[in-house]
Amino acid sequence: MMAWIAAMLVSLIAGWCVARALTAGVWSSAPRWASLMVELSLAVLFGPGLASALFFGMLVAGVRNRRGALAMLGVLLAGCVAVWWKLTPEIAPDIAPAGGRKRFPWMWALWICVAAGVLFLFLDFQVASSANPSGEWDAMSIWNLRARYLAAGDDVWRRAVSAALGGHLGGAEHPGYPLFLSGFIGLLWNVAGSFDQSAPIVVSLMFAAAAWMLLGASVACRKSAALGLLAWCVLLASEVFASQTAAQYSDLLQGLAFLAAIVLLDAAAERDRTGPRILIAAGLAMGLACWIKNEGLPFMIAALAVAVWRFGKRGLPWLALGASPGLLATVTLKLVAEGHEAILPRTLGEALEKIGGAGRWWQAALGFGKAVFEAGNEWTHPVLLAVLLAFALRFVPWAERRARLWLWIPVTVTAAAEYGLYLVTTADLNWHISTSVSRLVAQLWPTLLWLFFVTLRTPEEFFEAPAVAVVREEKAGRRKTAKR
Amino acid sequence: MGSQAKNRSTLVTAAALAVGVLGVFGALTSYQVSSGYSAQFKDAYGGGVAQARFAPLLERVPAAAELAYLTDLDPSQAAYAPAFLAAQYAVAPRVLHLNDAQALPEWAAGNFTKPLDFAAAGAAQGYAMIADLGNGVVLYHRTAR
Repeated sequence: MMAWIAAMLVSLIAGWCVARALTAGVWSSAPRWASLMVELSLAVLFGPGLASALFFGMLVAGVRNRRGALAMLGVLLAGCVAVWWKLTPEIAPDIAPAGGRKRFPWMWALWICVAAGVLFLFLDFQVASSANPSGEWDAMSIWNLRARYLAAGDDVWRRAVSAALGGHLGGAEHPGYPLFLSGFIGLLWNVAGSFDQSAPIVVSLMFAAAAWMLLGASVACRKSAALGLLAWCVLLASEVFASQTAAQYSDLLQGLAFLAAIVLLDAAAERDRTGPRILIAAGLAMGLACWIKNEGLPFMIAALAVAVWRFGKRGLPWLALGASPGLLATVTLKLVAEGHEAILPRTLGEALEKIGGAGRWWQAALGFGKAVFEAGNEWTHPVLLAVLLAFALRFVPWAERRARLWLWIPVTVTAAAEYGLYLVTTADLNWHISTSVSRLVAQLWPTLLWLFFVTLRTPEEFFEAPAVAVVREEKAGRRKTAKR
Repeated sequence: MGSQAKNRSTLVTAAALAVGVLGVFGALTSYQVSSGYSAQFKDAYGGGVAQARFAPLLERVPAAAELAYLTDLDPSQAAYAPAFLAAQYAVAPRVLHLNDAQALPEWAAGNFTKPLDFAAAGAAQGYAMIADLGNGVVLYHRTAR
């Protein structure tokens, strides 16, 4: 057990080094706890993502033993520490405005709510993981199964990318499914020398926690601490999110990558003078998004396109550099995968025939609507909570909202691609929708909440700056006078 | 501060606290739903049971082996695919092959739901029974062609 924990920690430290090097100073005016949490969340995406891509590259290159995996982790850590050492800039301490900052006086109450909500989320995770330690259906038949083949090394790893794995059963053949999650768990199992059941459980919790943490912390960095806590509360009330935490699926990890890419693109747009580091970070998140699930591919293409439009040609090399690890791993996988997805039509005619069925459009739309309706429970439904906040806080001026509309494009394109897949699927549409639509919503949910929260005014705006700051200034003034 | 601004700050406070409290209740409800589901459906997908049933087979068959899959379930039955996929997970990194008459792997794994003549079931597919491992799991070896 110690071996895979050590391997996971090495990946996380490597990830933190990269996250710190690429984003240091980007949120320097934000509360330190918030910027630290953003860094840690990004570390959870970057470290395991790079480790997984390298592990897969190692298998393809023919290095298929435990010693090779350990050496790879050592090289990854050394490389990431070197990046941190060379690239992390000196950060000047932020100077607070002389009059003190506006504060929401009930922050302590919100912190208590967040703590209580996290406790219930953890209990939820614990009870679900205890009942089903191998995760839910797809964890056992896809993600963890493929991890076992990747962990076994030798030529056995090829079984993870073979259509024969599903026994030619419809819905079980996924030779080209990206391997971020399976590759990372496979690496941990390879290093451990056994299929320790607790590894995918811990990894599942880690990715869910990172997605949750990134939402509130990035809103706190971008807008205000109180709004960040409220974003956390709304996500805690989201059944669509909570139900996936113990599933051991790739969907919350996909949600983490989508959110990270959007947060980093927004930060790059906010601080054009930050230079290429933040663009490399955004590219890295985009590239890793397509190494998680096929849904990441339309997202990455759309995000890269809008980023090139927004940052011009000068941004492209940095975005491409960042995207290269995830993209290379995905392209390599597609090249070595044997067979094709069972649920995709084999000819254009078949696809067009399915698209022509008007009933399918309605059925797919109804599926998405139902999933959003079931994203929460009655009076605690996250959409209801969002409406309540919008009513009380109101939105920032239209000009400010319009300036961020481009961030919706990758999300919209991804949702359209997911919708399009339902239109052309060769599987029974009812079955396909009922077994997957809530997970597709779960992937987009944290990003949709983020896009909503950054358009709100902050609770702090409605309160005056604390008098303490004024008193402190007066005291300081008196001290200066006394010294004279 | 004007009275209008003060009213607004009261509304903001009330909404923020309401969202905080409702967020906690939302998480609590999710936990209760999950708790009820977990109590009712332990090992819902059969992975745990399959791992326990197939454990004796793992000691006898090389980790890289390919095995034919023999079962008494009909492919049209709803339990067919879940039983196969749970067995596949339990024996991985070994791989199970379904209905492949052309390539007869050296080994075969029987996954049966009821008592029957396991030896005869294997012989019909070109396999000799090596061991009845209990709980419907049977290990076969290919007979000389």
